[in-house]
Amino acid sequence: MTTGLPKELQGVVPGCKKALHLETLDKSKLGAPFFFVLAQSAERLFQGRFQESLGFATNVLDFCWEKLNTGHWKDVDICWREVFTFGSLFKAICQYGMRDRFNTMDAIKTCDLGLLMGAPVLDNILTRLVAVLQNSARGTTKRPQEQCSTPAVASQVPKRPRTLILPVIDSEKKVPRVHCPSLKSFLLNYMQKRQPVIIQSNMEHWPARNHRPWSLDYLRQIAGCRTVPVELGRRYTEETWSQALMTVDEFIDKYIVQKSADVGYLAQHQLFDQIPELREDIRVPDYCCLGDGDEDDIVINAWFGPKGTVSPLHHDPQHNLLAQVVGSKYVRLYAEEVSDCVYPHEGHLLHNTSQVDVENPDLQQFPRFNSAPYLECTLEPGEMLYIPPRYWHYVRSLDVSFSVSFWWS
Amino acid sequence: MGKLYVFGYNGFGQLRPDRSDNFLVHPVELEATEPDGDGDALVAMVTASWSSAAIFAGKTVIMTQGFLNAESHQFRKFETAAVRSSVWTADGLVVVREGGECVQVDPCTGQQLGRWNGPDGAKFTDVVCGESTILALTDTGDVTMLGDVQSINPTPLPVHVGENVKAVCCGKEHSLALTVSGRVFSWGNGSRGQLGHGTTEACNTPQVIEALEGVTMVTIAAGGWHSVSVSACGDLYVWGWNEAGQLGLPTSKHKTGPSDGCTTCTDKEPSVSDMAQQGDNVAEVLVQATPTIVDLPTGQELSKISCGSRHTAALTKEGQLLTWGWGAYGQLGNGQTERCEVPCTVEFFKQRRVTDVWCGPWNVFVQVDK
Repeated sequence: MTTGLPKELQGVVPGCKKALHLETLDKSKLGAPFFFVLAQSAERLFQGRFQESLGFATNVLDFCWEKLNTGHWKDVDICWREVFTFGSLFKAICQYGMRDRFNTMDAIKTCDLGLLMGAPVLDNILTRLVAVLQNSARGTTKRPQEQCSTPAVASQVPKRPRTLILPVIDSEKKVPRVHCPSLKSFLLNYMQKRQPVIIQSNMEHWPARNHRPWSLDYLRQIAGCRTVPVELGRRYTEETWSQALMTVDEFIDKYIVQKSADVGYLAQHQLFDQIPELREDIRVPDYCCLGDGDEDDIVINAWFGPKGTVSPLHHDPQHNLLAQVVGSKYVRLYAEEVSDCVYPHEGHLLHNTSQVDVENPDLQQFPRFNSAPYLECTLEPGEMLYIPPRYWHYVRSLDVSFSVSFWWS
Repeated sequence: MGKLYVFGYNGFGQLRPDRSDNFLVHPVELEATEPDGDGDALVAMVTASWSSAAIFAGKTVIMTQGFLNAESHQFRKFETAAVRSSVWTADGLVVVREGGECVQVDPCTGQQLGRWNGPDGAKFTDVVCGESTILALTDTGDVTMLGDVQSINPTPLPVHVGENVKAVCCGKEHSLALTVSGRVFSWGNGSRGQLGHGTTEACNTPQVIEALEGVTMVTIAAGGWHSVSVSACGDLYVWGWNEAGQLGLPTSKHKTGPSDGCTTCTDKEPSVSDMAQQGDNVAEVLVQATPTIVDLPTGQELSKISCGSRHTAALTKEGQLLTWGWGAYGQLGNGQTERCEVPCTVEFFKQRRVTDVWCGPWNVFVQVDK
């Protein structure tokens, strides 16, 4: 059967509408009109009628967008995120098939939006499609359509900038350091005792620290054209905080290389699900297998940003290993027992976040804060910090920094 | 006598079943005739869902278009007992008859499929619908929530406003009520500021919008996540989500000035938010949690407002049509697909007198004097 699909995609994309298995979608939740439009887009796609298919795919995405924005994100039925992925798939293929009107970067961006907002279908087809599109794009241009007008500066991240001013760490409040403890030792002395600790020499085998060292140039090469979510504004507790989507190239140009007045932080993003090539450069610490949870449930987040990014004092429900790949971070830690000294926000959404600005506390408003004992450290590249569940932590980057966090139960 | 024009999303042929265009960026005529084909009747109202439209030509003729009976680009026309209000719900077409009964009808034939009882035998006057909420208004000024018509005893649940209500409307997750005294109440989800209480908190029961106290409102409308009202003096008040400029407030930092604003408008004066001064840098507004006034080009007074998912349409007393907000499906009627964050007069109707306007989620129906 001849398909209307571009030849390069025929290996990764199903060859006919039947192979999409749209009939497994819950039509009663999606509604007959929506399902009709989705099916129309699919039909025309395989007939090579890309313009018409694209029109319907756009209807699908716009309708889904409204569903995804109705009610709380976590309450949105997953079927809407699944069909958002289908819509993105059809749209990306149409854009690639209409390369007189669109370029490959547009198709890659469509895939990324599907990866960011959708839920995987057809064995994570968008990841496989975007890999093919990236290869196709590399064959022609390396950079996206919009070029950054400022020249690239210092694309190699220096190991330790000469002008780096490190905060003075109180020796009595230092987070202890340990060299690669055994699993048993880590479990007994740190996890079970809810004791933060810095583990050294456990990242030496990471390709990101070894033979494929992460640098701005390397990240641009692997992921420059990929669209990622960026947090803008000093901290998420402030009104001026917002999120934006941009390519990794744009993020590096605007927020890392340029001395931007605004802070941009690629924070708490499961980048390694989106870009499997980068996943190859890191290793899940063995310690994450300790505890009750499933290995498959380990959540890996990327934290990439310039000097001066701040994560306000907060706690998370799971165990956390924060691994420093590039750059250094100042971290302060408060135990759960002193929670009333860190004045958590009231209200459902921010109850895990402190109201206090750790490095500039308002002692009139928060008098007990200075009496609370704490631990602090400067986390260096190659080190990983263990943060127990519900342990308050505050993080500030001291230079350009790339951290990888592992959350497990 | 009137002429009906349509523009915006047409993916199911709900504007023009004879056209395969996914959307129409320019207004086109839609003939709404009486059964004996006696020229254009006055359209009493239009109600449109994402995939269909019901046009009430006169009060007894219903034309339905779009996705009907599991097929696209359908067209039906049938007679029915006089209707005073109607809305599409997830299940189908709900209609309030002149006699005060609220019934569900088959959108292809008009056959009655089910019926709700008014509380204590009261008559219904109006029915509106959100994502999953169906609200009805009675002639005693009470608001009720209609449940599933399939249930054995379909009795509406009362919604307590505490005052005589003269109009209700729904967005995707919120509801508004306008009282006889001109006060506005809101309830539901508030995450985009659409309740107008100054926060993004939800509100389970109707609360009066404090910021509007002291101003008498005469009409209200709700879009997906935004709310609009007009005062007795003709001022336009907006609150809620402004992500596509549907409030008529800036969506990006820019200077106000004579040459700024929507490039498709030829209106002389730009719209200026009451927060901004001429020549200042205007901060973008994404969520407006407290009602604010939006000035209109050439200071016109509004007679009617209607909202789609992410756009707004307004009718002036002089018979001009203004649109603003999301425009990707041509729902602003200006031949473009760009969004517009400033209320703009629709060129097409400048030489005509517009008498009514109704918005579907992604389109607009306009009636003009013949």
